Amino acid sequence: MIAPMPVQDIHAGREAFQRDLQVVLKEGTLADRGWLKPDGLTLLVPMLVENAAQGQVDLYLLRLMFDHYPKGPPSAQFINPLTMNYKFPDDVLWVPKCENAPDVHFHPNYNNCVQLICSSTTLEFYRVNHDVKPEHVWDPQRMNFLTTLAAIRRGLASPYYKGRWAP
Amino acid sequence: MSDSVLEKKPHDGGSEHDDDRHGPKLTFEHVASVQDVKFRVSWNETLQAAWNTAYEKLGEDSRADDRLQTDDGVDMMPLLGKTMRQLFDDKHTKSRKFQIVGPTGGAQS
Repeated sequence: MIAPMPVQDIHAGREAFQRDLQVVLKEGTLADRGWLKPDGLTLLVPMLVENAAQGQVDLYLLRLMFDHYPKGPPSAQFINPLTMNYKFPDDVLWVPKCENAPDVHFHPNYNNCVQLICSSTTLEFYRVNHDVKPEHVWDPQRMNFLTTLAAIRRGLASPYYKGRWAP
Repeated sequence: MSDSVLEKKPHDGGSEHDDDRHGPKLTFEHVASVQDVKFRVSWNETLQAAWNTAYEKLGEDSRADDRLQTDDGVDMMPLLGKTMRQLFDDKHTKSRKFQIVGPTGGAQS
């Protein structure tokens, strides 16, 4: 099925993001998690990934935006940490490559139009009208932005992670 | 990190010595409800048994389509029958934090 694109609601998104963030952090702080919140709708999440083939750790920066949240999932994009933007093809090396992960894939330029973290837990998945099983459609009753982070993490785990995309 | 810094490093009440004697302290995070629990299990306990205990402590019902992964994304479903000793000694995972996640969809490469 093709699930409908969630409706943007900046006010609801800001409130729900703040609420869920407080629940996730409990008594902790953003710094405890290594996260940054540059504004009321955005969360920056550094992700360190073990690159076993190269014997190193690779850094990525994930930007979540909550303007369709909580009825829709957060927008999720890997960005260039130097420019805080994503521009194809210059920034493809800031997008991780994964192969054969069961339910997530990272496209640096899906259909020649957008970076797509191909998971039913990201807004872009609905924006491109991706096919989805009914049981996987974003459900705010049992999903939150941690669901998005957990799904993305699966694609970054061994044996799926294959390093950076090459420009 | 220097020894002097390490000595001052805060800890959660457990220690490597306690781990050796009594088993590892695990954290289970239930992503849907954003709750987590920490508890110690014996080295002979299986991951499945620890997961079952986590549901009880969380007060959450297990769902048939729930899955278990580490906080760095490693799928633990093929390893549920392993004991803690096997999991950590055989280096199936370094993480002691697990996430209980529901089903999500996406595309394979």
